[in-house]
Amino acid sequence: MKETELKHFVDSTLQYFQHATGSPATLGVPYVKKNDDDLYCDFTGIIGISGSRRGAIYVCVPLPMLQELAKIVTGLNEVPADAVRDMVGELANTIAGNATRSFERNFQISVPIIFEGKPKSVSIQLETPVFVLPSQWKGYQFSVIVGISD
Amino acid sequence: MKTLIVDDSIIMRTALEKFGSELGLTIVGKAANGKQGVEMFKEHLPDLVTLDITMPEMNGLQVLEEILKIKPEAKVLVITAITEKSVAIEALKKGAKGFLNKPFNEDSVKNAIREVLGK
Repeated sequence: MKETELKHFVDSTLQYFQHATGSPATLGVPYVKKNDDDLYCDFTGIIGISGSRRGAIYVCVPLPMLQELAKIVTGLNEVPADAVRDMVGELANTIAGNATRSFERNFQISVPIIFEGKPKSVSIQLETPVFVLPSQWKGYQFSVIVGISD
Repeated sequence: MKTLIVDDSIIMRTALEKFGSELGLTIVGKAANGKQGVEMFKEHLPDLVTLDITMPEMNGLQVLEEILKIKPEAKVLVITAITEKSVAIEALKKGAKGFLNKPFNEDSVKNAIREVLGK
């Protein structure tokens, strides 16, 4: 994937939090992921890309952030655990879907796959180079990870 | 007003139930896929349906066609990602009364429902 295409993921992530929560997210400087990077996450939402381009988008989020996000999105003070878990899939789905609107649409995006923790081995693989967008929302650190072939 | 929510995302169903109930809607069912949505529609014959487009089993457009055959006067609010604008337009041509883009928030959900209901 070209570095210039990363901007779509930056914009989509910023737009998601501003629109869904009214509280902006901030993004740090993107970098190319190395094998020994240790990204912290309690839950990961994965969207696979297939067709003329291949790869995936991972969104790694800590549980307290998901819980707070789910409360805002649903308007509930207490959100059931299954809905909190589902939140990471919906987050990944919306960020990926809106980011890829500027791409040529001769590829498909999958329904979200949700992992507890950080997946070590999954069938949907990131294509190199893998870019990490280090992000923050309401003081919580999270990561959007993008690896899509050219 | 009897309302059916059709969405494969638990978090979206939860949010739509909360905001719809606050508008005085009676949520008669929450379906997790398109096929289940058509079955629940036949059972409850709701007046309003919130309908996600991208779902397993049957997609939102297929569901829309099925439910309007059963009850043509049903009001359908289609929920789409921004990427699916052309799909939203197709849904309007097929008889949906409005569409709502994701990500949504409380205000955008309530405004979209009010608009579909003409309130």
